Amino acid sequence: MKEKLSAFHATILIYMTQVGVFSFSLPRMLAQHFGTNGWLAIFILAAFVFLNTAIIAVVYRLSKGKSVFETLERSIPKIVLFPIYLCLCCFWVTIGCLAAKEYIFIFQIIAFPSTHPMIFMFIFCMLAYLLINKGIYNIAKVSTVFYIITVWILFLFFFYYHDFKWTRLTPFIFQGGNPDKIKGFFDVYPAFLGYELTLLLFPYADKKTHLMRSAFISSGLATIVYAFIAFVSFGFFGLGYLKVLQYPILVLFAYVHLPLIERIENLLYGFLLFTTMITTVMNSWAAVEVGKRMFPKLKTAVLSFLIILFGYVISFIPEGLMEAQRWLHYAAYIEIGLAFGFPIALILLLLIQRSRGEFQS
Amino acid sequence: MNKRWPGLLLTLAMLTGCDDQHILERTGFCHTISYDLLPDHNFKIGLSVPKADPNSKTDREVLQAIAHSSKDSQPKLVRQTSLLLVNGQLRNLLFSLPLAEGGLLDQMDTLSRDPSIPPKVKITLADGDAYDLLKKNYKEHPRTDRYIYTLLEKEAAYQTVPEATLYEFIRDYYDDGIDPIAPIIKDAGDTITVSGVGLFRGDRYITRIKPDDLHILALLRHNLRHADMTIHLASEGQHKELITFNYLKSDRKIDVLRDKSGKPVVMIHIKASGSVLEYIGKLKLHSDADRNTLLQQAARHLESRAEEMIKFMQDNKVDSIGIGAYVRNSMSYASWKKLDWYEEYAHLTVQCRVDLNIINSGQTL
Repeated sequence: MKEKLSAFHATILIYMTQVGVFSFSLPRMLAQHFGTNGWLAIFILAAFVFLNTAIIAVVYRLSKGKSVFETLERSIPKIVLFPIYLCLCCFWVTIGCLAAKEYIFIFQIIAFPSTHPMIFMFIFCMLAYLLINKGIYNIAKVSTVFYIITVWILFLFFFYYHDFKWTRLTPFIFQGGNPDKIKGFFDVYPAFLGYELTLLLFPYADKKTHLMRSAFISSGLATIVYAFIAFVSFGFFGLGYLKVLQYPILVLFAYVHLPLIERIENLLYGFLLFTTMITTVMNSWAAVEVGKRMFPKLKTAVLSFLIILFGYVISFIPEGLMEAQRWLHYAAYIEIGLAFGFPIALILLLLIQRSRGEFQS
Repeated sequence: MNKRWPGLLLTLAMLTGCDDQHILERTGFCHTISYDLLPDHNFKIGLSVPKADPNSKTDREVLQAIAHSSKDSQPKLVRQTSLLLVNGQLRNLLFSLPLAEGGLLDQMDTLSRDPSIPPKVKITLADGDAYDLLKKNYKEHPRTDRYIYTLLEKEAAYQTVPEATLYEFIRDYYDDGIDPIAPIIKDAGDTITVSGVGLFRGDRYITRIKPDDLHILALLRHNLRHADMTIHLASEGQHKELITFNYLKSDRKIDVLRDKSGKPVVMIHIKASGSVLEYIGKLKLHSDADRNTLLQQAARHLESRAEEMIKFMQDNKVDSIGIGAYVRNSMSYASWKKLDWYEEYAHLTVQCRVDLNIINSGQTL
């Protein structure tokens, strides 16, 4: 029998896909868009994440765990699907590689500023390629290892206890932020993205995986972690300072001062490579999954190489951090649409199939 | 084939080290930077770089450049040394008072933008020329940059002089309920001494607290953990009465009440306790009645001095103890935004209540 994802691995995998470059600037974005006690907005956003996950759960139930591509191909001719697949494939690998490029640009703020970023990107893509080739089960296991490597960083947040002041939090809720809260929602929501790839995990899960429960738990975990980081940041920096900090997490790391070692932010930031790596790998893996539908006869190794190569070439385009950020934001807007739109479309399709009796056959 | 991958990857990873090299012996780790404002509005920027070379006659290089900005001075400073200057171990930033009077925001913006500068770097004000202070060698003391740093570090550890770091300064600047502070040092001939604490309104230096009042400022600004404090109850002619608390712990609480007209009234409660290892006066520490009288006297004395200090700050419109944050949190956001805080602050009623307690009074009765 084919190996299936375990519930624990699936939870960690989805969580690690969610946590990535967006989380580095998350406290600042919350401060800019939501103002005082912006960290509370995390819970509002989480409600939408859970709603979206519930929609995906409906797809899972209606399709009885069958691959979403099978569902699509049952009703829609391949010739129509091909351009959609092509777009999805290119889009997912692009979003993965843009996240990687942004990570590298941020890394170069603190280390190796004069090295060409595409050298780092090359190594990053190579690692991603090696991991994708190992298949989803191994990616899940590796992400668990990566999770263990990075999770302890959260305990460093107790280091800020002395400089944390409740008065800095203020009793005001969502005051002094950007009046356009809808934009704020769309700018902060991408920090949660990654859970929508659960759609592609259907064939790799069985009843024991409790895939949708894993998706809910991982989103819950991301919510708690984000709320905690943002809460500490608001009490440590205060609203005004937080609004002008590009990457508050980097300054928090730089503040850690151990008796024998200091300036460990380079090291700590290096650890966050692992979270970004899983984000990139999972998005590229999704692209490969779509690619397999377009070119079923092509070897997976060749296909994933071509897809990663495409991502690498695309990542040449943003030449600066701000450009990479802008691209990633635009891509994230589309991904939000996809995260809600794709499962809704699938539900409609599944209902049509059911009414026609196609599904039973 | 699979076995070759790790080797290839490792080689590639190692190769990245061939670029962006920083060789320790050729690197100068800047320790302290001084900033002075010149009459033509340019800056005189000084740099103290410790030297690790055992063959060198001096233990540091002190460089100086006239420039339009801190980064503008960098190439001029670099031209004077064989070392590659880096900021990763920067410990102290010394600003002259005239420069601080004009505002430090531009400097702070550059400093906080640079990721190589640690957020824990100290912000210090210099009475007189900052560069001259940094350049001078003090025979009986360690290297001047290190001397200043350890002096301030020790003072901060014993909580007599509040610590001011880049992070704290910028954080308090951006917070609308508190103003930044920074210690002031001066050349006292053979030594360097702390000559007060500078009080800022926004990023501009306004006035200072004298060294004798620093413990009052410390009590008002934050909770103390192990401070030493001498309270002079009387010092007229030959009649002296003083009490010294060691290992003093204090808890500060600020309440905002409203008077009949709805105006805020600020109550500052300070609870402090410590060991008394010195008392000069007529009362007996082992007598309960005497001890209570003494504590009451000392508490009233601290209250009046604290209120004097707050009045001084109100007159200068500097909110160095962060009363604004408590007033802000006691009202609605819209009312706070409408309020001209510094005007309101200048006329605010602030009262202090001090509770003192003696934990022990040493080995003798």
